[in-house]
Amino acid sequence: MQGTWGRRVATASVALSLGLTGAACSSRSSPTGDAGGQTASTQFVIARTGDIDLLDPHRATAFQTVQTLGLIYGNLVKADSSGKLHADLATEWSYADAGRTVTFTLRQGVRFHNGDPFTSADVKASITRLQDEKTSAVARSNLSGITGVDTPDDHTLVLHLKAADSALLYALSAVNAAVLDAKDIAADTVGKKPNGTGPFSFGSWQQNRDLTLKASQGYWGGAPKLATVIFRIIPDEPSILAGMRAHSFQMATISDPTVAQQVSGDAVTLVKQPALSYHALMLNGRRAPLDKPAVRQAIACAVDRQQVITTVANGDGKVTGPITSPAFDYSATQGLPCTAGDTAKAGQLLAGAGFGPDHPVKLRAIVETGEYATSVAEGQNLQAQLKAIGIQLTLEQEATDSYVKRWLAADYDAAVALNGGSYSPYTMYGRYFTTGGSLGIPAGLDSPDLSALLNRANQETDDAAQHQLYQQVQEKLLELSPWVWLFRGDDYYLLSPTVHGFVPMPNQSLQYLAETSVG
Amino acid sequence: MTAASRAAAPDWGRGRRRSGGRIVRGVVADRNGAVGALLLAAILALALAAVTGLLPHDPLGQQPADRLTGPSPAYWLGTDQFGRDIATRTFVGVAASLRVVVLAVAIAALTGTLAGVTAGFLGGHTDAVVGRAADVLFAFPAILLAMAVVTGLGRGWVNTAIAIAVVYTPIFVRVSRGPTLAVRHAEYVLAGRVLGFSRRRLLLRHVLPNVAAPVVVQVALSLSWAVLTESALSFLGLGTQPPDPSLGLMVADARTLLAPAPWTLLAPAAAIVVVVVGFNLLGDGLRSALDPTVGPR
Repeated sequence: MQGTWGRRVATASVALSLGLTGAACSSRSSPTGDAGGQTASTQFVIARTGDIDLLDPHRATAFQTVQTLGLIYGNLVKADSSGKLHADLATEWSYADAGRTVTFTLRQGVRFHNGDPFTSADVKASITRLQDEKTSAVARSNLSGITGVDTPDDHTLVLHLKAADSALLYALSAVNAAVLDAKDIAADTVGKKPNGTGPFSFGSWQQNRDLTLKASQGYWGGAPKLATVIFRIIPDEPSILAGMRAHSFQMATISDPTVAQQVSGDAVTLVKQPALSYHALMLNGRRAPLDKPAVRQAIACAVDRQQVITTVANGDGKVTGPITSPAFDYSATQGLPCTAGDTAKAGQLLAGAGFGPDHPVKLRAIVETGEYATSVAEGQNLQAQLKAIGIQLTLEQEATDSYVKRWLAADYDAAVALNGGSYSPYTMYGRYFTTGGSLGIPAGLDSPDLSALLNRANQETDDAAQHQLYQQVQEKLLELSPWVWLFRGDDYYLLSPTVHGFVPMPNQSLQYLAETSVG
Repeated sequence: MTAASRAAAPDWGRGRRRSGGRIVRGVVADRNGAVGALLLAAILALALAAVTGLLPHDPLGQQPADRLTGPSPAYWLGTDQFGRDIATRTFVGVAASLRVVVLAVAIAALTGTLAGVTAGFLGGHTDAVVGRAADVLFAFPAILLAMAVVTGLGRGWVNTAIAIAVVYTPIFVRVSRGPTLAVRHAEYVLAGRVLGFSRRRLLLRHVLPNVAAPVVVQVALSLSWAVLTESALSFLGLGTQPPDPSLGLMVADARTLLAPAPWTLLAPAAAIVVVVVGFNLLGDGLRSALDPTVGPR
């Protein structure tokens, strides 16, 4: 009997372990994949939880996509880790006509990965494509001030603007405004096989498994020391950490503060980088009952941001307002008709809008899974907090591609989101909240006042006056509460101790991989 | 056949069956069965208490001030990252899991047994079609098939139950078909045929009761496996959806908290073990009670 009894318990225990492990493994890659044994100096494996969703830099919205395509494509200018702009494909630039004309001198001797020479015609074709509504370019509205592009010669580009545009260079530095080969645009092959001027060329992509980049030997800045970079998809962050400890990867990007806090020992180095990106609850103000400002304001008032940080990010975050650039350090909540977490005031606002216990607000929130670790937890905490004022929030989990599709189609009431930030407030919000903005429909708010304010701030050339205008933008956003801005977190990079030269960027760019080495 | 002859026809099957009372006594007399029943009774009682609100905490209620506190008189099994009581969530999770698996196994047992008995009794094309259909379903790994069904149907507990039922139906087809092949040539069935009994009567009153014993044992074992399948689906995000508690979901959430707060994993994992072991032992007891060749241990 003892034998039978012990066997039963042992069998059940093993079955439990195998069942859960097997289930987990059935849809997840092993952290110790084949690259684990081949990670010589030529292969640099980066683990991350999510895959890219497309290959067109002008239409990329997912972090992983932007991060990856940023290594393949070049821009006229690029920002460094402090936000300062530097030459990239343009070596210098100058303003004329009160800031309404910008002339760029382009770098000579640059070639695309397919061997085509880079000229001003490529930049002109890229800007034309970005401004074409059919492209659905993410950065279209950020470049809407460009009224004409002249190419006096192959290495000179002149942009004519409606008005001075303080955010223009930041907009041009974004991966979403990457310079494409004019021939690819004419042949309509953009998004099929990436062909840029960046430090790495596209190798191969096995969806949801891995993506390989090769060092571009002809890169104008010198060939990167990493011959091959492989992005490996490991959907589970604890597995990524285990893989780092087992030396299966040289680097990893993770987003869960709880996992980051477990990094210890000599095998893994943790690098924390305060991010410009921000966590928010987007509200679709084009749908009832969120078309009533009081309902949106009630939601914004009810949410205790610090509680979200405590429960979701293990305290590792900072309450933020809409503008996250360190150069514009405003109060995170000034403009709200209440203090954050004031459920009494929130209840009054809801009652004033005709809602209450007998007529509750019911919302369905889309929550992305895969791109960052804290999304579902954020949804759960927001759900609990809004329940306190009688709002029923139903969570609908979606994988990245279906989440992005639903969001772009404005097919949501609320969306738990992690949005990319920028050094320029206009680059962050012009596309969402200016009239005709490229992401104005999914952003869910149409406010002519806010649009005018954003445009005025962007066109202001006096720094102090611009600072004041952006403060008004921030307060207006908080007053209208199209979204509930929650917090800014940190980005976490796990590095093998043998990795040198990598510098994290506040905008999650991996551009310093071009200068990274192992050994 | 006249009414008199029908009344006089012997019911061969009934003499070989065991009554409910005898089965229960048989299970209790078997040590494994008794332990299994005891484990299940205990956890069922706690699950019932949790879902009826007899436990002191709300399974969804967040108390951020008490987040990640260890076991204490206030929180018997500690709290999770939101300050939710793990004990309450575990027992509500057990109830949620059982709700899914009981429905799933009921569907699978009913469908599979009817299909298996019919195929075995009728033979020919019916047997070939049912047998091949079961083979096709068997060809897929269980969890993969369940994931495919859930992906197709959408999330939710009923769809999860249907997915698990699809996975377990061919097991019941096989378990019931084999004995039926033996029983259909038994003398009492042949006698029934000679006496002109309808196929339906032969199936329902003479064949089915005599293949019931292995099916009943299989039900207990399938409940045990189905708990694992349901937990695995929830672990992967395809079963119960947050914030509703589920054992698999709690295990998934606890992965990142294992080092700072091991209690977040221990409670749901232990509950899965207790339920799985309980059903396994109960199945063992049922086998002892129903199989005349195996005596109580």
